Amino acid sequence: MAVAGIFAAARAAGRRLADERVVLAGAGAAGVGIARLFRAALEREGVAADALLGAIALVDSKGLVVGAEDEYRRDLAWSPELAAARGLCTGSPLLEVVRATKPTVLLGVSGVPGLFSEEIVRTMAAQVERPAVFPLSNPTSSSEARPSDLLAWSGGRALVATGSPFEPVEWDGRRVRIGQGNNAFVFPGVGLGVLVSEAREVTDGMFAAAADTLAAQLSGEDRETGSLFPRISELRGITAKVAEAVVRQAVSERVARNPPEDPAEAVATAMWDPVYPAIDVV
Amino acid sequence: MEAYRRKRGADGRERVEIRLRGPQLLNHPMYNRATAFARDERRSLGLEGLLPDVTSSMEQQVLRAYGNIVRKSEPLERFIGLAALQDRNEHLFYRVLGDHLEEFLPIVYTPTVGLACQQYSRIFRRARGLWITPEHKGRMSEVLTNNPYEDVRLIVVTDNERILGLGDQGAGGMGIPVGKLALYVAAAGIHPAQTLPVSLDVGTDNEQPAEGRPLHRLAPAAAARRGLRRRRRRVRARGQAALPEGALAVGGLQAVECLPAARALPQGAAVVQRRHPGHGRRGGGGDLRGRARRGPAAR
Repeated sequence: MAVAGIFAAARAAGRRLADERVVLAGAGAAGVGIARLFRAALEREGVAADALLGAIALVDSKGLVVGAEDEYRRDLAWSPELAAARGLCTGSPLLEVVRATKPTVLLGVSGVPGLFSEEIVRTMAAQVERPAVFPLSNPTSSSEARPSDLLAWSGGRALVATGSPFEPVEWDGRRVRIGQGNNAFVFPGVGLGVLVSEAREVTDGMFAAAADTLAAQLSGEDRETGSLFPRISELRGITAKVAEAVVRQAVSERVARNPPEDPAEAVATAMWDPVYPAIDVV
Repeated sequence: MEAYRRKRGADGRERVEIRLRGPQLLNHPMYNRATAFARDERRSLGLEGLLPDVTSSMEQQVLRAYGNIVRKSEPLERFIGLAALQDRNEHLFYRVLGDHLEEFLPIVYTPTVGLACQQYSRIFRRARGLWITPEHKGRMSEVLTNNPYEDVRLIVVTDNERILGLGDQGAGGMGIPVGKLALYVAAAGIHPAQTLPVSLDVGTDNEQPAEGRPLHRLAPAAAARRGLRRRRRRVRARGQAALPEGALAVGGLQAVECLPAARALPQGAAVVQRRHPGHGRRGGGGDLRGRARRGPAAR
């Protein structure tokens, strides 16, 4: 879901995915999951070696993560050499990391309300034309920033997506709908795709296909107003598209035990509608 | 376990076999349709006199049910109202939810579901889901056969430990798999009778406020949890490949999502295996088998 937001932001800003630089605030399970999935997407774009490692900076409550001991994020942590080359070190605070790495995307899964301060956001906005800022922490009271502030501090240039629902923001005479990066856009479709294809496992590729499909579901109006996620009211139709992409991916990765001839039709047939069925009294 | 027997008629419409009669039928959320039972159906199902005389269309019911919910102003009250609807009439619940997703998703799912987990003992009305506790050791298959439906395809499991960043919610963590599955049904059209919410309930030392005795297992929490953690580390060490993405360590909710097939449950207690003999759209006849195993869970 967060990765779909990055895809959508790159499209909206007219940037190549390979040029995205991400600072990820909050290096817990959610942050590490997002980092891995995004890194897999960069690898598919041909990004490698130090450029790949440097494209994602993990920052936790103690600052920049360098040479982490804990196994689950060791491969994502920067090497001391890479950090030194950018004038950073273990524990560099978020503001310094933003200043040094000039991120295109600032993503928060920290649970720390207000973490994205005015200074941090203004610094970021001075470095890139369309800064993508995703305060994804839930609930609303834990959000790293308020969308109205993000638009104000960036002169309306920020591409904003949140984890909790927020009201639309009036900016410069237009109404910006704040896309909610709700994981509800992804997991039901992945589950349905797995059920329909009877996939043996759930691969990173299937999640990437889901993210890609979600990013492609934005309406023209969404793109114009800078919304990065569709409306929740469109969830069922989007889920069908996501499921279809997951089925196709499962088939192409040869993990589908039941590869359907027509994935779209198979998904449509599998979806139950809540209407009262006809009754057979037995 | 009950078979919820669905099939598709010659006209393409879904059909369901109903064996229940009278009050039992009205008390079953998967079959009940209250005033939408037609007169002839009321006669043949032993419902005459048990309902107000008028019959309603589903659309009329949706309007009434929606009105009942939005009359409440507090999100938690709306959660209670929607949960009660789900426990009365699942078809109507999913129709109301689907028609008003933007409005009700934040109720049945985050953020309100987090509050509901915290207040679980206080707002408890009717149990939903399957709680697996250390006492069930050795009797796991017996407990698993108590689940309400036999053709389960999708299980969402929580270990209750980190609910939406709110910490350990004990028995109240059940709110998360229930809410997530509601979303799978509303968004992806998985049939509700093919879903099963599961809580691996080892107890909690996090005491929630509740009038009377809270519903949480309290005493043996610490020791049981140490065991759970140990087993989880072992499962993890056995390779992420065995766990679905979004599982245990990876998922933001710390919920294990057991997508179809067999998946490792961390408890070291249960490996749920589905086998479907492969008849009818693989509907109607699949069975859910639980097996007790010792030691770390394996595929």
